[in-house]
Amino acid sequence: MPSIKPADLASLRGLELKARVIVDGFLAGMHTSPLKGASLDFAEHREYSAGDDLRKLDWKVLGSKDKLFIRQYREESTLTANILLDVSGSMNYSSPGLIKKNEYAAAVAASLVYLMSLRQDRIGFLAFSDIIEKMLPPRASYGQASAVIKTIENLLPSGKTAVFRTLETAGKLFKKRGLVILISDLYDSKGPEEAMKYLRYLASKGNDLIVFQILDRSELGLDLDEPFLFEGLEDKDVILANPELIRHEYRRVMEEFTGYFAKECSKYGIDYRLLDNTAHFSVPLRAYLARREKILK
Amino acid sequence: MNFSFLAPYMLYGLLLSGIPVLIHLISVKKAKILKFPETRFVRLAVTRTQKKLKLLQLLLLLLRVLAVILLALAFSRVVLNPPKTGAAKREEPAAAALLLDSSYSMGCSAGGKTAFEEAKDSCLAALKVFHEEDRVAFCSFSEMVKDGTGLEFDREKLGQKIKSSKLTGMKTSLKAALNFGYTALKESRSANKQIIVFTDAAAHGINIASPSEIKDFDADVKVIVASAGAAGANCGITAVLPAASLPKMAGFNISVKDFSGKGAESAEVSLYSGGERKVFGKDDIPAGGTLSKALFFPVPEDSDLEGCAGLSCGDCLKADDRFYFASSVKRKKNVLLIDGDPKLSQFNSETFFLQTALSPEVSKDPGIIPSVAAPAGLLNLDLSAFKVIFLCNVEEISPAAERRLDGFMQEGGNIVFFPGDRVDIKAYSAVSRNIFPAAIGKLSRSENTVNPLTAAPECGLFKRFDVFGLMKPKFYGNLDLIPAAGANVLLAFRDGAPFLIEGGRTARVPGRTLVFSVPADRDLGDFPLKPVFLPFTKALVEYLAGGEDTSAKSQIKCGEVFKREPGGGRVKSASVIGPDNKTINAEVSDGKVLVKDTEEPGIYKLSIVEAGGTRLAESFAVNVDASSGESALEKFGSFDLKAALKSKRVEFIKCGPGLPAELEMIVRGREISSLLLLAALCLLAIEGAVAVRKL
Repeated sequence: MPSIKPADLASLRGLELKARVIVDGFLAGMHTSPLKGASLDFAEHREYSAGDDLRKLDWKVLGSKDKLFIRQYREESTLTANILLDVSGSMNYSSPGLIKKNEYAAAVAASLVYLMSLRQDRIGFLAFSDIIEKMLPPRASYGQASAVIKTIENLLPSGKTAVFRTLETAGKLFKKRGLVILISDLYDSKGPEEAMKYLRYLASKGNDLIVFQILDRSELGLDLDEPFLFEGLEDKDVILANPELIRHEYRRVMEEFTGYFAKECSKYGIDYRLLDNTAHFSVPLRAYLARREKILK
Repeated sequence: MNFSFLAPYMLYGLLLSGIPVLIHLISVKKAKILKFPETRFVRLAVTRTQKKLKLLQLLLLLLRVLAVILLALAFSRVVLNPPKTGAAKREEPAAAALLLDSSYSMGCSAGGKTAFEEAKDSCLAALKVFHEEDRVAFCSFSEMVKDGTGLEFDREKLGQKIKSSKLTGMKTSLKAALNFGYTALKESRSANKQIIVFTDAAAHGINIASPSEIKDFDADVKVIVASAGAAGANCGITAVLPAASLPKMAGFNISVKDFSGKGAESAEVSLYSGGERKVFGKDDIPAGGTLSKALFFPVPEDSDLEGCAGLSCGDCLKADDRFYFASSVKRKKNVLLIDGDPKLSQFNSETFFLQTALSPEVSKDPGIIPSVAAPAGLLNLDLSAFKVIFLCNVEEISPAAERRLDGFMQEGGNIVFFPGDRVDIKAYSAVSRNIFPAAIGKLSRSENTVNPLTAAPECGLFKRFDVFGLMKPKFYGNLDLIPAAGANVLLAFRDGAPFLIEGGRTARVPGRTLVFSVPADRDLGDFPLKPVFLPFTKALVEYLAGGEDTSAKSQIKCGEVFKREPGGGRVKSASVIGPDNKTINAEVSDGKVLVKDTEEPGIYKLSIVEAGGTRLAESFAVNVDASSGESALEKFGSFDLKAALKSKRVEFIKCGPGLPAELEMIVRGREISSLLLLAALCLLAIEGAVAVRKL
């Protein structure tokens, strides 16, 4: 099955279908799938060492060769993954011809949920703006994935962005350590430093973090061709500007903004990915899998 | 600079310069609203670029407003007028007087065209600047105006006049030119009048002290001087004078002056006669100084001599490198002074004052050569070598001397008696009255002066000098003279006593004899000490010896009138052949011949036919007046002319290819619409390069 592009998503009805198409396309395109043999597949033998679980001892090898070997499997345990999805007003934007940021973020989130379900991970979900809009505690069932996707599908962007508050809440709510995936444009009302502070806080609690910063292409490059009265989607702030005159400076500002997250996340072992709404879905999915493998090793 | 507009109504277009501002304001109001996720970063970018942004906006606004203004000015057809000349209407018919300098300094050339040729070409080019409806007058001028035409529409005629103009040998006179120009323009009612003078701007040519000297002066008329030629090194011949004579040789002193202060090395000075170079010499001409060069060449006596002196030193003006002469190599007027009372001190001798008065100066033509001898000389000397014999205080005339004197007079010789205290009255009473035409009486000792009113009117002597000058000498005594029969008292004292008696001439004895009643020294008066003594004695010799100072009279400056008044009879007709065998008019009036057309330097040959059929032929030389300042090639400037005319409406331009454009600019102003249009387009192009969408 060929992989699907963000622009083609509109032709598919239902977020679940979209997620399945995205993930199937992604999996079919992989040459060496890290999912080979499913979660309980034998991976390799390892010599027994003191303290190893005797239940994993390969009795057949002991009987034939009189040696102690431990059977190792690829999936040794299920992962708890929480997806934090930004549904603030600022996500309700797209350049002409592109899908909206919130739609792109929903597709990414849904794909991840679907992939997680295939991995039999415990999936938790939290939608936020400046408040927690929706929350589904982590569970490892296919029904959970379906429920999460449905929830995502029904969300409408509104309100301001308060990443810091969401992360603070999440830190308190997530009792078990696991993977936290934040999907947001990171336009925190208190500034990037505040958001970063709580990302560090979450990481300090033993969580593995992946941050997908979703921005529209014109947000990054201000590729607009006429002067506008720019009105904020969240705070109704208005400013008159000629994109052609300020484009250079704007791009510098945005590089400073995204660069700050990239630098800080790197410093604290947080996987940070900047995605514009034209980026292929394989990027977030691959990032998830890579992180998952790292966690489970 | 000032401006005028050919389509002034288009200036309303300047109001359109507000459009860019208006568009700016309107566009601000009509900017679309764009819902954007986060305005924080937009605001930050705007804040950071605001300074640059405002500057850019201002620049763009300025460029646009300026472009609109330039377009409006371009469509209103701006005419740029020259400074301080007022706004003459471009479309109004103009009137102009073109004045072409034909003075000899216009022959100056630095190797290519002469200044005259350059000026002529520029004059023709200037003619084309004027439109069909403009009227133009023309003349060529030097000291006088020539070929003048009134205001004309006929360009072909004017062109022909300009083309046929020729250089003259005369000086520049701006006064003559401007007189013509202002008078010619007087008949035009145009407000756009100009006099354009094509000249080398010879400095001495401004012979105007104030505008009132110019006829029909009009302060509204623009005077444009189109300067031609460039000043270069120049030397010229200022005089050619006969030198002290040598036997059967003609000699000339040639004065060569350096006008430019640069001097010349190995300048070649030559004498030409009969179409060939007779003699030449080389010498250095001192910087700013004068070289006097004497050259001689063999020539038969009593012959006419015509020719010229030539200078070759590689200077830029050739006209003053030739100096023509026409003279006669005549037997000199040898005069014998018989000193009857010689003294050891020459100063006390009887003939000292006469000899001094008759001795030639070095620089002058030595036409009179006095020789002094004792009374014995009357018996020993060859008297036929002399024209006049002065007998000063000679005691007696011996019979042998009387015979010789009689023979001398029969051959046309002349005798002058100055009696003195040594004179033996009895001995003189025995002398023939043909030789001594008076009887000597007693010595009168009363103070006396000459009465000029007693001068015999028909006597040729008194036509040669001012007889009233003889009133000044004072006499303390005189010999009473009683004129012999046939003798005339030519001049008398106030008391009626004769001062000078002339003996009657006969067919047998053509020579004249004159007797003074006073001595030739200071014994009885201060006559020899008075200035009049010198011209009087010279005139006396000229009167007696006959002939004229032809070398002086046969040489005139270009433009001067040559006059001749033959004494032999009424003039029937006269003709003149000028340089290059050109026939020249000679006016005959009241027995006088006047030759006025003497503009060209050279030898002029005058032929006079008298009523009796007698033919007289004479040559005269016409030369440029190199001493006048014309040869100095110094130029006057705009300031000089402005000061002379007391007018600021004086412009200076250069003759040459750029003249028509400059003239057009001065006469009409310059329409700069296309320039403005180009500038507007350039501004718009810059605006396009810099601009971004309007805010």
